[in-house]
Amino acid sequence: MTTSSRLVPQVLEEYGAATRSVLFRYLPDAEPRRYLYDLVADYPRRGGRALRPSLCIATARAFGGKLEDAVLTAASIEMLHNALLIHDDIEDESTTRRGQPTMHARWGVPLAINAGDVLTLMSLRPLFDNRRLLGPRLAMQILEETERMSRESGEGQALELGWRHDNVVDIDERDYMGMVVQKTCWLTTIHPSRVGALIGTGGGIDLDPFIRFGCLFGLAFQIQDDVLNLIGNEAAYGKELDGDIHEGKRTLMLIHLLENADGDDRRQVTDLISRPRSERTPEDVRWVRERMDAHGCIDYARQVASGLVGAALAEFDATYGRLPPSRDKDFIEELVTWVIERT
Amino acid sequence: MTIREDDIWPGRLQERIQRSVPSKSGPNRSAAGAVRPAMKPDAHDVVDWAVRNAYGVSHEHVERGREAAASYGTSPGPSSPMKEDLKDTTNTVVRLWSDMFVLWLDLLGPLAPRGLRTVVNDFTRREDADVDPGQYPGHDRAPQAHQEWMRVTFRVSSPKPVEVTLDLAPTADIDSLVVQDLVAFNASGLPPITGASLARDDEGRVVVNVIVRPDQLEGIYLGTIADKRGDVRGALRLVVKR
Repeated sequence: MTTSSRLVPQVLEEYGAATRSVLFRYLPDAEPRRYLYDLVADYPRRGGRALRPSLCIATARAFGGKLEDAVLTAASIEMLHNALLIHDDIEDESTTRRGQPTMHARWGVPLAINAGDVLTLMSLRPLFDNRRLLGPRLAMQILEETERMSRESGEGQALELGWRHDNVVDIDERDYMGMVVQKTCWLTTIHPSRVGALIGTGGGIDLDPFIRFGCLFGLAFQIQDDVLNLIGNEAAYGKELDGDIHEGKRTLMLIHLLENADGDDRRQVTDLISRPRSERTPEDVRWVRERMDAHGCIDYARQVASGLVGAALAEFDATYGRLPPSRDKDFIEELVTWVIERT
Repeated sequence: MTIREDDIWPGRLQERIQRSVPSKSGPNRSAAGAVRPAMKPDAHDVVDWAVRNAYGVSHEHVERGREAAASYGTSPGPSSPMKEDLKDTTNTVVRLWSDMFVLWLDLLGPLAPRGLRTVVNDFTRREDADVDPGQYPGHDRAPQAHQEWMRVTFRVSSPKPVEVTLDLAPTADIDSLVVQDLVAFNASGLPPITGASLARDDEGRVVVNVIVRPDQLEGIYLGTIADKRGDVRGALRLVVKR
């Protein structure tokens, strides 16, 4: 397993810049700026790692395609990702995004919802423009893929929100993984690699292996993201630390705690996560965090994430292994390890 | 999965802790759920347990995609993408055969009946009215590029003997070409050969990449080579021998 990849940050920067240059062409410089288009451009302007579009472009190129063939699809993915972040932040009552106040914290919930809606719809435009670039059949295939990804993401988000709404505590690791695959993996890893492979091969490829690769890779990514929420560098992480506990999110660490805590502790954790966020005090959050440390929940999650990375690398070999050596192939392989090394 | 706090507290906790974790419904039930492990392993098997769960979930998603694809295939309506694909496929097959027929006529050379050549050429032109007919291999008005050398490298990985034939329009932009799955020609039901591709190497040679799986059955496999517009630019033929 490689460590501290230098290639990954380089490629993320390169493909991220290419994606953003196209993305901003799709954001109107028009009225109403103050109430809509400034908001629509807000999250994309804050940057971000551009992992999703980079994976799309790199996969397309690894399979023999060109950057310019994939960049519209990559821009669409990044636009949709940013749109969903706006709504996620409202649903999670998050206060910080990429080091700044969340959109709804700054502009209020109604304007933020509307900006998210518009950005979601605007993410379709590059996919329509694919028709001229890639031909109608491939463009339609990518649209169908996007529809499935959107549905999976929405279902996963609904599961997570529903579990919190009903205070469902009888969730095991398998339930958690099913939810994360839908909520995170489809948009983050499965979809970008599938549409990238479609573009690279002109549509002539079996896409099933990308589900296996994307599930394992994306699960490791999400678990590490949840770990960083507890122990990360807040400036680099861009969100409030311990925010997931504040929000009562069902993370692998929380599930592990619920499975391993004894009677009184379990009862108290269950009680705390059932309350509205506004009723959870910093002391409550600190106590849950201490219980997680006492039960080795973070170490457990890291162990699981490492195992998933190992399995994802095996699936990488099965899915990308026969491709000729290339910088993009190396990038994707190193990206798998990088997700659990990032801070 | 839908058990709530009220269902667990109070009174049921002891019973719940003392018995083994029951097998229960996940959010996404499917046949793949049958492989769901019923017992949580010891700590040293944590990774194995997690990876097995992850594979179970990914399998469910693969199956769900297949089910969705099958349902699309039977969905009615004039705008069904599958119907459009079918139409495209039909056009592709027609074009392939017309192109191959032209190639055959070229091989026959002057022996080919003049009338037959005219009919075939007219047919091909009508199918591709907006395309320069000289772009097709063997056409009467083939451009000068037809006379140029075409250098080809075949990178074939196969556990069985194979015979590879490439027919390619000489003016084709190699980087934009896609080799469709190679479908068995002489028998039905054989799985296709997938993943064949064309590329150009640093020295300008056309590189044909084909991987034949160990379990690929003997047969004659044929795949069209199409450009971005979906126009046929050639064909790749593979004979997998015993």
